[in-house]
Amino acid sequence: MNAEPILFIAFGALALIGAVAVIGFKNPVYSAIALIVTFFAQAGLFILLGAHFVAAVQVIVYAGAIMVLFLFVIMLLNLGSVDVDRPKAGIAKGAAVILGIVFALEGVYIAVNASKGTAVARVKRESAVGGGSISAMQLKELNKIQATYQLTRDEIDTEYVPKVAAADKTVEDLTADEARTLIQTLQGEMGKTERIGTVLFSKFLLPFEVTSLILLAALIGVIALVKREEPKEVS
Amino acid sequence: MSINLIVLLLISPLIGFLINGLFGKWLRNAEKLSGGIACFAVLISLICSVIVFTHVKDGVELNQRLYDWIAFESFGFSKAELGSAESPTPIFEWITGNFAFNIGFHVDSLTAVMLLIITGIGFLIHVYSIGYMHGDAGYTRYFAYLNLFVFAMLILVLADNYLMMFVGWEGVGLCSYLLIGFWYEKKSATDAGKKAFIVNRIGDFGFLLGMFTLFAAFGTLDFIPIFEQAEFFERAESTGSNLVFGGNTQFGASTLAVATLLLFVGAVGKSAQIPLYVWLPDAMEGPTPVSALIHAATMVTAGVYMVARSSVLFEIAGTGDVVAWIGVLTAVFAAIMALAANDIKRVLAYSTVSQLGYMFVGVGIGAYASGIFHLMTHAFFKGLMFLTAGSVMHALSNELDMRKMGGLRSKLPITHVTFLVGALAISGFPLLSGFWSKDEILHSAWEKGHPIIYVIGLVTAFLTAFYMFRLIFGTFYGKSRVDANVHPHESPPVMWVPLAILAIPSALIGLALLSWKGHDSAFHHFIGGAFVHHGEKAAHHADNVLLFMAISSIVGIAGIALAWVKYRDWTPLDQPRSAIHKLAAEKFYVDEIYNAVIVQPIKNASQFVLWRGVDVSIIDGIVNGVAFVVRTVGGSLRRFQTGVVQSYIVSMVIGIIIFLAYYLFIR
Amino acid sequence: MSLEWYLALSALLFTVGVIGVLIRRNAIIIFMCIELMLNAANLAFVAISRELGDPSGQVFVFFVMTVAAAEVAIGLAIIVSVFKHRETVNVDEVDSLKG
Repeated sequence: MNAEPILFIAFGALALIGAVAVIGFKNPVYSAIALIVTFFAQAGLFILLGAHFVAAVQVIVYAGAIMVLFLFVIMLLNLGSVDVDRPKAGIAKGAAVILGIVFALEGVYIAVNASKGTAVARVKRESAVGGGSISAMQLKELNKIQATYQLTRDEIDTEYVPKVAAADKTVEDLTADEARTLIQTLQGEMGKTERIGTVLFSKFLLPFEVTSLILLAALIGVIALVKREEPKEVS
Repeated sequence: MSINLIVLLLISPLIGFLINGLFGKWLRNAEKLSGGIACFAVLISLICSVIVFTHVKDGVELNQRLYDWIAFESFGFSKAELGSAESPTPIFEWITGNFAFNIGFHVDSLTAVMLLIITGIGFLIHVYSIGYMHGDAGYTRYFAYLNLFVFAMLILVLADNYLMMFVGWEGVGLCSYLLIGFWYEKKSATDAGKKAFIVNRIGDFGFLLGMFTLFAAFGTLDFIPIFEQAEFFERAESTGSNLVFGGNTQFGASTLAVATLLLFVGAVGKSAQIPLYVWLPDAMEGPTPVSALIHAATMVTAGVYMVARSSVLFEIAGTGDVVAWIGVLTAVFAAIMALAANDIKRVLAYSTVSQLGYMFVGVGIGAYASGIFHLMTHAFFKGLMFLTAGSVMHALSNELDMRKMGGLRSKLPITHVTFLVGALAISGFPLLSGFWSKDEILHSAWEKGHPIIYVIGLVTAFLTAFYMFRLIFGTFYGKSRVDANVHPHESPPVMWVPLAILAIPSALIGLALLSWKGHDSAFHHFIGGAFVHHGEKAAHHADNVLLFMAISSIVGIAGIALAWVKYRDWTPLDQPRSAIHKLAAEKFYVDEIYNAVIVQPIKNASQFVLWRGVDVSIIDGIVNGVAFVVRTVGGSLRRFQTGVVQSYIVSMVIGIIIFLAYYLFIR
Repeated sequence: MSLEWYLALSALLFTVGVIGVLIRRNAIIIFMCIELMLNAANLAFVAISRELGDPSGQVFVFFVMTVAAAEVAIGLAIIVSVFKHRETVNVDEVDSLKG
């Protein structure tokens, strides 16, 4: 039995409850705690999606670093006990919720129709061909994967082909069904740290380096913003 | 003769200008160097000019394109079209007609003579200026302008098309303006500069319109094609055929008449003829060497040069008479005003206007060689006289009023002698240069059937001799009326040597070039080549040469004698003696009339119609109206700007929802 | 579980974030809601990435997190300095830009 639907419902519900709690609590400290819950739930969802690396980063960066920063500022400004939110006028709140619902409906509509006539659907359709030996399109797909992750054909032949077919087969000998499984296996592994690392340091090297500049700029900006001003000389 | 020679001739002063103009700041403490560079630049041009002259003398002419300035596929009127049936097909019909202007040179005998005058006299005046401008704060600026002027003037005479000529034409106008207003701290100088510039603009406007007309008629502005087409037209008209020329204009004699008259308007402005002469007397506010170079020897003769250059057109259009009449009227009018002037430079200025009138008589009646000859002799002796006037000013601490001079003969011997030579030359004293050139023009006027012009010219000659010797006697003879605290002294060699050199051609160039042969002289043979079109008209032999010479001599000597009688021992009067004298002394109130008739109405129109009416109510109204609308709209829009972040976010969310809905459900 | 479910969940999370931004006045909570929205977007990225078999989506999530970290640091610094000047983190009271 596939556990994914159950886990999805569990994590999804947790994330939603956490999110609603974030905007529901009056005390920002509670909101922060609720947000951490949401983040953890989302990390679970990421694992369900096979994105192991992202899930780990989610916990470390969001639930760890960012939330600590939030809590730190709340403590620093001593906002925990003070409720700055006087009740908003009911009509404004109601209007906001109605807007939100319309927005959510549109979002769900998009989600429901996402795989109709889109690129996603096309890829699914194409990979669904069955029977016969490995097709040219599948070979092409394999080559693409090979290039993206900088694997050699030997590595695929020795490490991955045995997982889906007889150990002495090479890629060219696979049947179409076997090839599809092979591709799915390879794609399923893309969330692995090794795979993400390969892509990050080859195809996305330049953007990756640029993020360091962004962080540096943020660093300097923060220092400039909160630096204590020199006490002015009173003459 | 290679084109490189011409280019060297042309750019040498330009380089001088650039050095003095750009690096003058560093040359300010090295007057000798600055002046030396300027003189050297013109000296190179002079040497080139002499070489060019020898080439031209050997019969070499040059008409060469240096550089295509503006060039479009040309498919207008061409020789091929005239000669045969085949006509070039338009390739690209954006602008119909020929559209090609180039930087090119046309060098013939006329150009060569002008080159020699410009660079020769220009060089001497540059040298003279070293002494005259000594110690002036704007020393390097002065030489920069002077070199720029020489450059522009050379462009003017070297051009092979009207557009390039116009570039030089405007260039000399600019330099004239700059140099008249050279001492810009003096209001009268800047006013005079502006006056010269504005009056010249009127003439230049005519020149521009003339160019447009020529372009419309001929589809080109190059001299040679225009002249060839015009001559072709003349032949065609005589045989009764009807032609459509380039530019799709029905070409007719009236077109050409309009074009030449418009060009002549330009000449009237530049060469200070009636009614645009008013700027030249005021232009004497500039440094005296400038008056000598620009306002006597070269720039003001540009109009004469232009008419001579366009002689073919004036001949065919038959508008020469207008030129001649304007010229002779100017001559006598200016001479009358010169009688009553007491400022020595003003006398010389009126004299210049008057002599320019003679030149226009010459080119107007078709005696081009004579007109150009007078241009040349006048350049020598008038340049000389201005320089001597400068020498007198130098001696008398810038005194210009001859009522405060007198008896300077012993104090300034060299100046006196050279001035006397110039005055004798301009008065038509026998055998001196002015005698030959003026006599030739008058003689030609009679020969070509203009007796009235001849008589007026003769009267003018008499007046010229009279006022010139009034000037001589008033300045150098009689009792000294010099202020007690002024001590006259002779000028340094750097000033008097150019005077002495200029005095020689002033006296002798007529003899050297003309001798007794009249129209058969060396000069006529040389320059005649430039006026081939009417060769048959100029070729006929003049009769009674000696008779006319005798009449001219008598008239000139009579003028001198009368001046001797009246001014030998002059005691200036404070008040003009008679009404006519007063009228002449007040310059016939022409400035006042122009002021009342033209300047004030324009000023009033500007002030009450354009400023108070158009500017304040319409333009300002539009501007203020726009501001008012913007302010009103902004006032109502600013309510959206609540400063509350969440209201902005609400707008944003509503916007996103609407866009999403549009893309999801409607599109 | 198919893509639609994940995307729908992502949309709902995002909407909760939007509503939070609209109805809360506490700047810090508004900030948290922004983080919620970013996370919702991340979820959509990862889901589609799996669907397409393309790792770019996950790399993008990584970048989004980096930028979010920078943004949180700056944003909180701004909130701190606003608080220092105005003794409040109520966005309704911070309306100097009122026209």
